[in-house]
Amino acid sequence: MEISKNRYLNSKPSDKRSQQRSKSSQLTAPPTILQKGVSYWSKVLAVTTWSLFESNPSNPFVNPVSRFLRSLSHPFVRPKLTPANFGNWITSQIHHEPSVPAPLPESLLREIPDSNDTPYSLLDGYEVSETKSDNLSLKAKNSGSSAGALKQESQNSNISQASSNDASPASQHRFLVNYCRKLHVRRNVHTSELVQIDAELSKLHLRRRQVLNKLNHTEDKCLEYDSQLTSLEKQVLEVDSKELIDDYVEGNVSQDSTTATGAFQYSSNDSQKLTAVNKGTPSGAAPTSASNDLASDYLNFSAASASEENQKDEQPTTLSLISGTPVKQFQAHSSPITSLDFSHPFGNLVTASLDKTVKVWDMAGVVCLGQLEGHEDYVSCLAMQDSFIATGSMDSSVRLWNLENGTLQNTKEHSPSNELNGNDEKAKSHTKDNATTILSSHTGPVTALTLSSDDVLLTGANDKTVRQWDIITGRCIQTLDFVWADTQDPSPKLTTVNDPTYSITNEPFIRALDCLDAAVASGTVDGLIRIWDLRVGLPVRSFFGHTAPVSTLQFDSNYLYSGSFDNSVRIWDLRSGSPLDIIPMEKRVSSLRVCEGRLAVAAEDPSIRVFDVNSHRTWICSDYPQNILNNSVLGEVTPTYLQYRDRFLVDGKTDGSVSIFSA
Amino acid sequence: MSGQTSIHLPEPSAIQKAVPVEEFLQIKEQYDSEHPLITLQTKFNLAWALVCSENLQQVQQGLTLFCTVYRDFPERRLEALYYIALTQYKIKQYEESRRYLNMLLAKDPSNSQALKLKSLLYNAVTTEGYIGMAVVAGAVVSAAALVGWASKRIFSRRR
Repeated sequence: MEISKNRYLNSKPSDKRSQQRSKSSQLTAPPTILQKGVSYWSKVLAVTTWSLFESNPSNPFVNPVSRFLRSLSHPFVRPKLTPANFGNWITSQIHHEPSVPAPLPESLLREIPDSNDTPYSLLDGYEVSETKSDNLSLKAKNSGSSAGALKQESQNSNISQASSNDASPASQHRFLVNYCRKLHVRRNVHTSELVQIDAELSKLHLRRRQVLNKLNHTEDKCLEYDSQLTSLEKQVLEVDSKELIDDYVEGNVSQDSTTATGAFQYSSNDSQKLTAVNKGTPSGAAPTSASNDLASDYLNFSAASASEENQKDEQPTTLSLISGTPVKQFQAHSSPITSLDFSHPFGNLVTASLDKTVKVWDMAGVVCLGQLEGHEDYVSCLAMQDSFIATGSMDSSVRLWNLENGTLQNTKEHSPSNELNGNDEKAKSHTKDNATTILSSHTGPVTALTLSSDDVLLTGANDKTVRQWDIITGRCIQTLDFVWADTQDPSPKLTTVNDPTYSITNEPFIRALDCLDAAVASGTVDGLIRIWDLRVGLPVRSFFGHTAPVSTLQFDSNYLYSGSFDNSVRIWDLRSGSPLDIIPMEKRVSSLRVCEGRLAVAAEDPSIRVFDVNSHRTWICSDYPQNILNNSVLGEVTPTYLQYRDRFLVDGKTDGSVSIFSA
Repeated sequence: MSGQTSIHLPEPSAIQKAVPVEEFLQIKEQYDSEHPLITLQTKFNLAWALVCSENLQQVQQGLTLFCTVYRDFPERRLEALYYIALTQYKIKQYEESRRYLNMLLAKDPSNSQALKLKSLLYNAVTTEGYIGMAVVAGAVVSAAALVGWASKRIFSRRR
């Protein structure tokens, strides 16, 4: 009977569904449960109609009727219809929207293993996974989730029973058996996890090896091609340099100067240039003689650079003098200014002069903000950084000031009122001190001071030492002793001095100091410039050349600029230790500063010269036009000290006036 | 085939009960922490938790995960088949469910849970069929009524 029914079923439906129908043999299964013919036949009919209306997802032809009907009867699948959603719902039903994820491809479905030889099933693993709290996940092996829930609770009670009092060995045994089983399963889970991780690791190792091989290969290629490139570049360079030398030889022949070396040519041209400007003063001869003596000191002067400079000098010697623009000028003191410094352009300016006062000015409105009281003798050197000021004076002390602490004394308060109040005079005597710190380790007048941006303070004094100070504690960190350095490294001292108008004994031992990172440059009375290493405390380099005391110097990472009383400014190359350039001046150089490739030099000349190193142009910064200065007594007023930063040039003169230029 | 123990699979009704939220969050956290190399058990845990929920999107996500498990772990394919069939049953894809279940039963005919699922499927299918039949009958009746009314009108006109 069953077989005939099968045949009857199979002959009924449409073609498309017959294939899947023939495969299924399930329809024979239920008759064992239901014996009544009517119910069976109705079921058969139902399945038929179901097949009629059902659309096989693998079937590309959508049966819209079945979809619609199905969506009507499936409250689970149907979204909650609100008037807003209704339109969307209708359209979604019309379009074939894949609400089911893509099924597995047929090929994969073929490869199913026959038997399951893993010791645990996934569900077991799920049940014993550690996310569940340990005590509650003891699900009994019996099936039935609702029963299982009950069982869980009973297990709980079992656990509590087992832990609290030994109710019965049987329940305890049951509990322990379950727990052990769970632990076994868990162990298996972890083992398989490890296996999986190991497989991944081996894959990654393999990949790593492959990539490493590729990298090595690429590196080899890189080296090969780099070497090819460098050899080719060398060839090209050789060709080029040959051409240059040929050019130079040609050019040199056409020069009508006295000597053959490029160095001489440059210096003599320079002197010619200056004499043209200054209308031929007799002292113009002195620099050339000096430079003649030093011709042999010019080392490493490549032909290329000489020829370059020659070409530049061939430009018209009648220089178009561009004036630096004067900005302000005011009278600061009544006696020559010894030193000055400013914090930033149009900021605060500190000036010190021989009248034993130190004044603070505001450059924006040229207002004297006050004085720094404390020093007993005149301040010979000072440095300023934002609101911090360090002053060194002839009373062998160095004082540190902080403008923010209100250390300024208003000058009005100290107007001389001797007749009125003797106490006031005492109050304004130098025992009143506003300095934040006093550093008094020096035993001689402090004549040189430098302050760097990383809080390194160095001072040089007549006791032939340079001391490094800690600003915060006020103690001397290091002492650089010149006498000791001399014994270590005796240098040829130039005892001959060109200008006999001063004697060495009155002259301060060290006038020039500058520091950069851990290097300090000092210029002393014997014309020697030493570079010291602060980390070691020993000089590492010496520059010989000046024949008179070095009055000022500054250095950066490449060059060192120095000016001395032998009327010259020298530029030295720090790496090679050799002199690069000499700029002869007419008179003794009192101060020089370098800023952004421009060198500002103050000699005993009313005007300040500014040289541009790159373009070899020269400016003059002066308060009055050149012709006036030459003829009047104003020509006696010469700048003694200048400070040049951010294109802002401030100089103090022998009459106590301060001029500000933009250069 | 004799002497082989059947795989421990959950009852078909177990899928209707949702997993508690804290557990679900824990499972999700475990899954995220193992990124990018996620172990089989973690994947299964998350997939099972997802399909047990009531949100259709989550169920579909769980189904995708089960398919991934099937693809990547050949040794677990039988179990994966069962879970996929069960999920399809839940989202009323009876055709698909039947297909996968048949494949499972071909390899493991004596699995009790699989047989239970099969009977459930059959019941669900027949219920659907009843509904479909009723709809068809109603459509036929209404069409017949319409035709009758229209012809009556035509007859009356002719007269």
